[in-house]
Amino acid sequence: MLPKTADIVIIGGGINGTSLAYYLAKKGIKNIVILEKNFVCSGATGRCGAGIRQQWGTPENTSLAMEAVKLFETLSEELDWDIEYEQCGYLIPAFTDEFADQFSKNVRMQKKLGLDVSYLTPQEAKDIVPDLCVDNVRAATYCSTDGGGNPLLTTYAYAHRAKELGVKIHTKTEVTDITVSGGNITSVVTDKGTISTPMIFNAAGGHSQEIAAMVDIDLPINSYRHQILVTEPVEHFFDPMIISFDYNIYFRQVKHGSILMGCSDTSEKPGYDTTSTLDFIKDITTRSIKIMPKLKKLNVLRQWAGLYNVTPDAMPIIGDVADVGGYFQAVGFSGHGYMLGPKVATLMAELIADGKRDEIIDRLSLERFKSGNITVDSSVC
Amino acid sequence: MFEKMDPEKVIVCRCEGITLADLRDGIERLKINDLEELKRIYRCGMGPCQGRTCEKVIKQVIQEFSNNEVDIGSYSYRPPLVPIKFEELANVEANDVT
Repeated sequence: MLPKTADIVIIGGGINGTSLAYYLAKKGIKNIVILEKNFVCSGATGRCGAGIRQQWGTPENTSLAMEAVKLFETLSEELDWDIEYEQCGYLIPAFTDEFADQFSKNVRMQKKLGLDVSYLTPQEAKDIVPDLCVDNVRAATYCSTDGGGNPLLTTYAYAHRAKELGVKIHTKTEVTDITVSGGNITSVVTDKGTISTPMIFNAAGGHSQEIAAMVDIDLPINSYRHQILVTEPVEHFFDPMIISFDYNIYFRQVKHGSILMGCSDTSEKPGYDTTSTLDFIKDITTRSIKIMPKLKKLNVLRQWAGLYNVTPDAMPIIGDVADVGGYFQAVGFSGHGYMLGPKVATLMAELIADGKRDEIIDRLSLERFKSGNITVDSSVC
Repeated sequence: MFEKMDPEKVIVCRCEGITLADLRDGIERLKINDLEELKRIYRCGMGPCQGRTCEKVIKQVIQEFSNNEVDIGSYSYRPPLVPIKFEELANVEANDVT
């Protein structure tokens, strides 16, 4: 049974929704309800590439990710649940001079922010991953404190600890409308009933713009299908996540031994389709073998797709909004919600519970698009 | 039927080596009785057979150890149907596949 009232309703049971519920409950906020249309971690978080990196192209993404890494370093302990977090590094080879130039600029910006990142020769890259084919590599960047975790375990750990603190999670419950009266949120309507609430938090991942539209907020966001495959588990043979923006691919051997591999298809049209395609599996296996020939003997076990919720500058939109009182959001992560979500949740919990507004919230607010003066992070794939 | 078995010794998902004890932990301690959710936490059904061997057994386990009438759900089966090597997939023309 749905409760009749709540102090805050969180829409979405992925990394953003569950981590915010946990941090709010820890601050003593009562009557927190999470509404999830399917089951916990059924959407974008549970379908993601599981990487956690700090090597970004804008100072906002980089500094937020650096804060996120500090949080992840102690998260298994905090949640008393091994979320398989590891700092196995990220190696980003450049196969063209254009990317080599951009990476040297990125590294300068990242170093200025205090990130321990290196600009490597092809041979130095090969020393880190001996099976990498460096024939056409011009340069590479490497950060040893980047890495990854298990998004499923992280989300279930947050959800479980949130429940222990009194948070109510209602799965298989779809939000169909949100009512606003006098400029303030008053209730959330679902297929299982209505909850009166003065606050909502939009953490709906690939469907965030649909939730925002219910309160007449027009988010500059589109969702795009993003496909991933996983291989059989094999003996560990390389450490870092490898990304190539030239080949538009990323892959990492996770703790379990399997290799997770994904890419964005630049010809993908906005939409909500998450069916798998043969083209994807054909393209990504072809491209990955060029970077690491050893992969050709591996078996693909399964492929799936999720949604990237993409903003014009590839940075999330977080915080409150001017026109609707009680509306909060952490949306548009553009494919990096798992790695940034928990840190954003701590900032949002401070805003909602304590009224404390970190300066990054203003820099990443919806307002930034009004000026039209945005810097796009091109380090995305 | 599972109640009297040693939960540590009963393998319910042989690909991933998931025991009855693992599943009972999820059902009884975490109060999760959805097949897809248990898969995401314990990896049952994530191995080479993709759940085709274990799905029925796991459903029986959930039914037995959940107190209420539950909607267990089903695994979502993903392509490829059987494991396929990268070198067999790479450069495959769509027309070659029937």
